[in-house]
Formats: sequence, C-alpha cells, structure tokens
Amino acid sequence: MLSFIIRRILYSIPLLFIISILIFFIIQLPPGDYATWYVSQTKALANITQEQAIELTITLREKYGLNDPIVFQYLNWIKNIIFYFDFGFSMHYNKPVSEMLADRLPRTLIIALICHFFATTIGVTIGIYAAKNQNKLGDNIATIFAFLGMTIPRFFLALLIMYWLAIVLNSDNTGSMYSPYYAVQPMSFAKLWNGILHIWPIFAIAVLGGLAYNMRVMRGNLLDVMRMQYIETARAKGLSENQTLYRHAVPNALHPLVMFQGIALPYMLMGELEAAIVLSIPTAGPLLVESIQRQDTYTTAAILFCLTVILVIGNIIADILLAVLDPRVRQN
Amino acid sequence: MKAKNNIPNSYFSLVRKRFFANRVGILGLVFVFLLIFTAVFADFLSPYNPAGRDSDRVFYPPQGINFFDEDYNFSLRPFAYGFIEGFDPDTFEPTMEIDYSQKNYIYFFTRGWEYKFLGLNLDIHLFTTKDNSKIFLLGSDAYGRDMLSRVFKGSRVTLLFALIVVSITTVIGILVGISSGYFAGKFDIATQRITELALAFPELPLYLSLVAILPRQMDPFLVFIFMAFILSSLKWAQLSREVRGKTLSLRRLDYIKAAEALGSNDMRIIVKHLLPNVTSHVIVSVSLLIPSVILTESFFSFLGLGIQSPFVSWGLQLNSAQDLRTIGSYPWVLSPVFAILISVLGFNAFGDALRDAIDPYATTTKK
Amino acid sequence: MNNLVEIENLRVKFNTDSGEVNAVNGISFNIKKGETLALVGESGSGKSVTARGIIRLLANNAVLSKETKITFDGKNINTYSEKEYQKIRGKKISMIFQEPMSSLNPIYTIENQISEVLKIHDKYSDKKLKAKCLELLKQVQIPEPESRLSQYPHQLSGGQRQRIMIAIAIANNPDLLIADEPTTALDVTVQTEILKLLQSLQKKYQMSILFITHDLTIVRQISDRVCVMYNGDIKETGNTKEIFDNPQDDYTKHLLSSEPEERELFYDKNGKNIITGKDLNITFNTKVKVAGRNKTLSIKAVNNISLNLQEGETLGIVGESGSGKTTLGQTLLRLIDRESNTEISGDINFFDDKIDKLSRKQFKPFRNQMQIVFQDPYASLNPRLSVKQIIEEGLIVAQNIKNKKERLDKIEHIMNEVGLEPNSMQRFPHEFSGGQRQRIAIARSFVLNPKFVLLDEPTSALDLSIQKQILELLLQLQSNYKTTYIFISHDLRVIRSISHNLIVMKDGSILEQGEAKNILNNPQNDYTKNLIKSAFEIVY
Repeated sequence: MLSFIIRRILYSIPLLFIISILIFFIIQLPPGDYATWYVSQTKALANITQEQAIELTITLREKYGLNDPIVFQYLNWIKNIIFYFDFGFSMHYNKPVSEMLADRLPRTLIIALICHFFATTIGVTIGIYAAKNQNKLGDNIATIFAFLGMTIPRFFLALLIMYWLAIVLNSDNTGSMYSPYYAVQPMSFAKLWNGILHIWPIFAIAVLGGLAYNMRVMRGNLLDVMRMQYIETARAKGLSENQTLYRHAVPNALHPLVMFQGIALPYMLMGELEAAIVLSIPTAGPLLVESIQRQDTYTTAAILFCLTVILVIGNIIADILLAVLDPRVRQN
Repeated sequence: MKAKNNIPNSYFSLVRKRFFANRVGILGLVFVFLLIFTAVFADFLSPYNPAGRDSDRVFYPPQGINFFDEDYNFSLRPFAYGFIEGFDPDTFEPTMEIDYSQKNYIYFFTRGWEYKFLGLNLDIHLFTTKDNSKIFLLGSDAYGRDMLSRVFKGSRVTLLFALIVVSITTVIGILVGISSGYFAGKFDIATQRITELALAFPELPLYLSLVAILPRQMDPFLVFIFMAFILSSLKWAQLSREVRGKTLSLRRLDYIKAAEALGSNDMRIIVKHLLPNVTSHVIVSVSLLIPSVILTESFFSFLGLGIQSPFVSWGLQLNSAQDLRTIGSYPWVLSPVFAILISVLGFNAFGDALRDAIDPYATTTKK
Repeated sequence: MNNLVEIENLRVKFNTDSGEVNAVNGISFNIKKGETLALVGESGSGKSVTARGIIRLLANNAVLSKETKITFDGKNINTYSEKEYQKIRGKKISMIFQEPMSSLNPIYTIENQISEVLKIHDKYSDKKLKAKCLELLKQVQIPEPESRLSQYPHQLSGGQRQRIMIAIAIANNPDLLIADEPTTALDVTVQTEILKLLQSLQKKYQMSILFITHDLTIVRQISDRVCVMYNGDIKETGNTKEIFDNPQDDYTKHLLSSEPEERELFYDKNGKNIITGKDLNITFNTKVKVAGRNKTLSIKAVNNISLNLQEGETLGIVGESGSGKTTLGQTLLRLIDRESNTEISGDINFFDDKIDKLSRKQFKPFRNQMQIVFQDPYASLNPRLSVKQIIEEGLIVAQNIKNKKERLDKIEHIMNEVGLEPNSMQRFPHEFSGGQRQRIAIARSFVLNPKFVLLDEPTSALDLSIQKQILELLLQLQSNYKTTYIFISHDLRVIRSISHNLIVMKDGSILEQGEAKNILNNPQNDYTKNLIKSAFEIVY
C-alpha cells in the first residue's frame, strides 16, 4: 500500500516538471515584460521623454534580471521554488511572491476543500435519494435541480448575489474577506463569522455546481450497481431493501465517484475562482487576473504552478482513496 | 426464416425511436434547433442593426406589444408605446414614462436595414418598424442598441465559436483516441502521457493566461479564432480518452477479428468497423462539451477578455452589467443570460437523452 | 405431508415499454421433501422467473398474479408481506445464481459475506461467527479454509466462488435450495465437483433442491423428477428416468431428440494433408506491475503441439478454459500474432505452403481459403452493418470481386444454403435471433468457399434445439463443399457427434490424440476419463 502511494507520487514529479516548463514559457510569450508595462504606465501618468522612457526600461530590466537568457531564468526560478520556496519577486506589489501566495493560497485551498466536502456529501446523498425513487417525483425534482446547477453560468449567479446583497439588502459585506473593522483584528469567532458573511456566496456558487455533478454521477452509478448480480444475492440472504442499498450498493457506487473526483475537483476549483473574480473576494482568482493584466510574470507563473500542484495532489489523493476502498486496486 | 418486421430497422431508427420517447430530450432538441435557426437567420429576425446606436433611446425598458390602445381602439397592426424621459424631482433619477401619443407600429416581412446573407444583399426582416419609430422587445442598452437584435446576433457568434472548438476537438480527439486504442504499443503510451498532461492543467487559469497573451490591438476576428484554438487545446484530451476507451473495448470484439480473418487491412477496419461504432459516443460527448464551451466563452467575454466588439457575444453584453447600479436601474441588460440558459440547457438535455438512447444497444450475450 | 412446496397457478407478467408480456402462464407443480426437482427448458421458457417467483425476488416491473398460491411447509407464503418474506429468505429458502464472477460483492471479505447471512437471522458472538464460517467453508470443501476468510472474491476462481455461494446458501440449514443454472459458467470438471457437493449436502441436510437448467445431461445426473417448461407452460412432469426413456409430450420429445447424436462419419484417409502444425509453441508475454516494478509475465498458451489434418476431415479439439484450444486454432489462421507481445514458434503448413512466417500482406491470399466462425453470435457481427454488407466484406476484400451483380448472386446463393431468406439481407443483426445470427456468421465465412474452416465453439451459446440445427447445417455444408473442419468445444457430446479425430488439450499440451471413437470409448488419460464421465455418465 505504501509502495503504491510512493509510486503514485514519484510518477507525478516528471509531470509537474514538464508543466512548470510549459507554464514558464507561456508566461514569457506576450511581447514586452514588466518593464514595458511599468514604463507605459509611467508615460501615461507622468510626462517623460522617449529617452527617459528607454533609460527607465533598461534600468528596470537590469534590476529584475529580465535580460538573462530564458533558460537561465527558468532554471533560476524552478531552483528557487524547490529549494527555498521562493517564487520570485512580484514586481508590481514589491513583495516576494511567496508572501502574497501565503496570503491568498491557503484561503483558496481551504475554501475549495470545504466546498468540495459539501458538494460531495450533499450531492451523494441527493444522488442516492434520486436513485431510490427513480422516475418518481423526488427523482425528477433532483434531476431538474441538477440541470440548473450545471446550466446557470456561475458568474451570472455571482452577479445576481452581489446585486442582491449590495443593492437590495444594502449590506456592507461585499468585496473583501472581512469588514474593515475585522481585517486588522486577530482571529476570533466573531471574525470568523464576519468572514463567512462575506464569502458565503462563493460557497453557495461552487457547491451548487459541484453538487449537481456529483448527484448525477452518483445516481447513474447507483442505478448501474443495482443491476449487478451481487445485489440479488444480498436480497436472497434476507436483507431488507434499505440494508441492501446501503451496505452493498452504495459502497460499490462510490468507487467510480472517487475516480471522478479528478474531474469534479477542478470543476469546483474553477467555480470558486470564477465566483471570486466576479465578487472581488481576495483569493487566488482575482490575484491571477490582476497579475496577468499587469504582466507580473512571476506571480502569474507561481499561481498557475500552485494550482496545478493542487490539482495533481487532488488526483493522487483520489487514487489513494480508491485503493483504500477497492481491494482489487490495492492488490493489483 | 423471416426476420421480425417488414422495414429494415437500422441502428439509426432504433436510436431515434428511443430518443423520441424521452420528453426532456425532445425539449433539448427543440432548444438546439431554435439556437441554430436563430443563428442562421439572425439578421432576418432582427428588427434593427445590432450595431446601430441610437443616442435618443438609451436604456429603454422592454416595450410590450399592444393591440388595443388606451381608449380600447383595436388596431390590427400591433404597436408599442414610446417613452418620455424625465427626471424624478426628488431623487434626480431619470425616469421613463409611457408616452401614449407615440405609437410605434410593427410591420411584418418588410424592408429594414440592409444585411448580407449567403452573399446576397437583403433587407427584408421578420418584423421591424418604419421611419423613426422603434420597438425594443428586450429593451435597449447604454448606446441605444436593440438588445433583442444583439442577442440574435450573439447566437451566431456563440454557435460559430462552439462549432469551431468542437470541430478541432473532435478531429484531434478521434484521431488520437482511435489510433492510440487500436495500435497500442509505444504510440499509445506516448499519447497517454500527453493526454494526462493536458488533463492535469487547470483549465481556467491556463485559458486566462493564454488569452492575455493576445495583443490588445489584434483584429477581433483573429482574437475569435485564437480563443477557439486556446479552448480546444485542453478539451481534446477528455474526448480522446473516451474514444480510446471505447476503441479498446471494441477492439476485443469478435467482429473485428472476423474482419481481419476476411483479409481487411487496418485502415478498412478502423474506418468501416471501429469508427461507426465509436461515432455515437463521440456525438454524445460533443453535445455535452458544447455547454461548457459556451459557459467558458461567456465568462471570458464577460470579463472583457474574450470576444471583442464589434463582435457580439452574450457574455460581452453582460459585461456592461458589471456595474451594480446598472442592474438595479436597468435590469433588462441581464436578458442575454436567458439565451445562455436556453442554449446550455438545450445541449445538455439533448446530449443526455442521446446518451440514454444509444446505450441499450450494447452487444450482449444472451442465454 | 410429503410436499415441501406446493405451487398452484403461478402466473407472472412483465410490464414493458411494448406492453404486457406473459412470462409464466399459470403453472402448478410440487416439490417433495428431500428431493431434487429439475426445471428444464430453453431460453425464454420462464424457468428462471418461476424460481424467482417462489422466493419472490422478481423485478420491479413483474406482476405476480393474485390467484397464485404458494404453500411452503404448510404455510401460505404468497400472502406474506415483504418483511415476513425477508425472514425466510436465506433461512428457509436459499438461492444460488448462475454467474459466480459477479454474485459476490467485490469489496467485502469472504468472512464478512458469509457472516452476514448468519447475523441476519440469528445472534452470534464474534467467536462463534468465525467458527461457523470456518465450518461452512470446510463443508463446501474449499482448500485452505482459514486463509480464505480474509480473502476477497477476485482472489478466488469461479468454482471456488460458487462454493462460497453454496456455503452462504446452506449456512442456516434451509429446507429448500433454489439453484439457478449454477454450473453453466463453470468448466466441465468443476461442474461435476459442484454437482457432487450439492448432492452430498442435500443428503446431509435433508434439503430439497429446485435445480434450474437447460442442460439435459445434468438433469439426468442429479434430478429425481423433472418439469419440462416451454414458453411459460409446463409441458410434462414426472420421474426423470421415465421422462427420458418414454417422453409423452411433443415438445419433450423434440427437446430430447436435439441432443447431439452419435453418427457414422467418414472421410478419405488418403487425402492430401491440408493443415500441418509442427512443434508449435505460443507464449504470451504480458507486462505487469508487481510491487512497483515492471515485470514480464510469460504464459505458455500452447506447448509443443504437432497436428495434422487431411482434406475433408473434422478434427475436434476438446479442452476446458485455459487449455489453449482457442489460441491454437486462431494461430493457425494467423489471428493471434497481432496481439501484443506474443512469441510464436514452429511450422504451419497449408497444403504445401509454409505460412507461419508470412507477413500480413503475403498471407492475404490465403484468407480466402481459411475461415473462422466464432462462438458468440452477438459479438461476431458488426451491429452497424446490414447482413448484405457483412457477408459481402470477404468478397470485396479477400476475393476482390468488383462486379456488384456477381457479389449479389453469391450472397443470395449462400443465404439460401444456410437457411436465411435472401430478402432479409438489408436487415441488421439485432433483428435476428441467436441461431439466425450464427447462420449469418457461417454465411460470411462460407461465401468464400474456403477449404478450411475453424469452428470455435460455434454452438455453445445457443439453445439445445438450435444447436442441433446448426450442427446439421455445418455437416451439410461440409458434405457439399468437402470442407475441412477444426471444431473446438468443451462439450464432448457435440464433439462426438461431428468429429472424425480428436485432440484433448490441457494447459497448452496435448493429452490424447487420435480417432474420436477410440478415445471416447477407450480413454487412456485420467483427465480424459474425467471429462467423459462428466459428459456421459450418471454421477452416483
């Protein structure tokens, strides 16, 4: 079992390497770099001559090492990440990227995990209910609900919620993690509650999407499993319908669901990013958009890379879970 | 020995029968058909030029169609009332009052603004108004443009975009999937790794990064094409994986071996035996792919990073709704979302019903 | 009261999309205490539905008529509620099913699954539970019972899984055991063991057994009485011996006569050698991951086999699953080498041509003359092609006939020969029954007028009466075209009825080889003796 886990992890490492290379080169593609952006901003805001602009560009480039050959830049970058957890320097915020990541990423992760948890548990429960009552009213309502969850654009939902909060309820709890008062306070239950008040739309939106997916998959799996021979065996033993369902059918139906997490998790993560971008809640999403617009190379690369790592880890966990649940996979 | 009935029952007729027994699927088909129809005949259906600004009629609310006026006089030709703009004396907010003196008559199948269709210059429309009267069934936007016409135009962009992405994805997905599944060996292992790579990338962030690469000044048409390529760059992986899986399971079936025994070469086996049996699954996957393409494109256009004007996309229309006060005062700017809903719902329902219809046909061993 | 079960007017209907379907039409029969009653019929006869009706495990869309009366041990159980029925399932009435591969839940241990049926009906301490499980495993004669407890179903063979199923079924000492084709999916030798096991358990526990099957040999071997079912009705009931010796009903007569019969078979012993195989060795090298490292697993499928066929001969190859018979046959047709990682060595000759080393292109002209018919009529026809297209393919590819009319004529001719209406050539496989589909497959091969046809278990998936028709057809075609056959099967009766010569295979090697009559009447090898016993003799 341990060897399985180690193998899985080792296997992902070359994958991550290749991805990191791709990410880094993609980031370099837009013409110009941070220096160009900075200079163009300066030009717009303050009047500088063409010579001054060029000089400024050169100085900036030297300062941030943007003149070195690409391969060097990459190797430097990846070396720093692996050995020092140093993701480079955000030229715009004038801070090490790791600081900003430390600020935003954990939040994104925690939110994603919580959403994932709820989406899975609620989705699976509704899925079981729908399968049990196939084609009856309960199933139909659940199916419609699932459809809606997968159909309504999440940014639209975010917009609506934002509108409802800001205009209809005239609430102040929008557009950030905490109200200004709590932002500077140390963590406490009150602060936590305030935080929840601010970010519950993200939960609602992300969970809705993930829930719908999970429900459909669980329902489908369960219906398939109920047709298996061992379900009839269970009934022949004298088990009641419920016992058969929960002891024999559901555990087997969960397997493909675990494998499916490989798709469900990114879907949820994207939903979270989408909602956060629209709602301007400071997590990884808005930061990514900002840094792309400002051509803040290192920040962009770092976020992309971290998100990929999160997804890969998520997949590994899903595989491990599957091995735990299914003895056939474990013993291979 | 006679077979069961008199008409040959091909695979398609079987599927068709099962599909039409599913009411939700029929609804989906209707929506999809509506979308395609709207996209093709967008210009004909639009009463006004989608790009036509009207500074006198900014942010008009949707107008209802009337047959009776306020004196209960019947008019065979339907009309809509115009508006008088005013100011609320207390809050200084702009108000719209119905102007009962102004009647905008609707004419059907008449001449209106000019457009090109299949190379011909036409100017006939399903309905429009004459002279300077206007009727905005979905209201007008910040520039006085007719929302309805823009929604129709947007359907063309949306459908075209989805089509391009789907075409690229399908071609690559099938090519890679079938050859990978059929030939196996080293080629399969290599393509599997590449597929895994594509699947490991977080979609949204990658798209954002790639889209941002496109220069601001680029021709909007090129932006459109590039965006299509960018979305296809990851989506083919999922399809190719499914095709590969299906190919692997089909490959073991006896009828493939039988074809070999008859002397068929690889190409013939792939084209005549594998491809037709894989196609139905591909169609299902594709119909379920389109909604995610539409949603992603809408999101990007909404952020201003996707389709650029003068092209019209529903997401782009919603972009102007980002200002919350706009939503409050002029909620009809959100109407394009219904177009998105109908399209996405349509394809989802259609694809789902199709999947159920093709499945029970699996070859089974009876005893 | 001698009757354990009395069934009166059992009537089951199914509500399907195409309306109501009658599955069982008001049948009545009894099961005596301690007896084995066989319920025999072909597919669609309603025997499985009847069995499930007694234990009330019918599908959701099944409707059991209100007029049905089922008396079990003196009690009227058809009026029982679901809860009351749950009390007798697994305790008084048990059932075992056909597919041992999927009858056990893959994620629970053996101990867990056996304990479950005990815990449902009675209280046990943990220790007692484990002891009882062990005892049951010993009763069903599973080797190494202690280690099996913690194993999972996928670690056991088909025969072993079926023993576990039996253990679960007898755990609470039931009065009635319903066995729904429990040996159909098992090898013949395993089948005999399972049947012996059931009989010994029956004696020990004084159980009645209701045995559902389509296999007349099994009926002969283990049942006291038999009910013959057809199309939802019982055609005849009575003592097994009497029914087999003296059938009264027409359908019963028809069924009994469908058993493959012995016949006189001749071929020209001085004919040319059409196929020779010398020192054939086939090894499959599959890459597996064992403890994280990549290893190559070598399985020797065919071990140093030499054989020789003469024109017009039918060679029967008998063996169980894993014997290598299919691999051997398909290798002669060069259909195996494309599978990844196969090593094939040895000489194969078709008449005077050496064909084992030919490339795919070079071998193509031989395809014309060497054809194959597969076992599963549902998997061997492409569902997307019409019958015409299926039969036509060989004419286009192997014989390169460009003239459409010429092809059409040949198709019509062969369809008539195999007993299909040429008018139906535009139809698709799913519109035909199993037997008809097999005729299409035969037509596909024979339209090329091949000199040699490999028949890979062509009748195993068919009903008994259809089997007979197909065998007759194959013999007819052989006499018309002087074709040489290799007939692969696990069913000795069929082989006896069609082969001149015989090869018995086990684990890739030939155990016996020679004239079919000689081997069957005078087997030398123990394994062969076992096979013959299972096929022809009564068990006790």
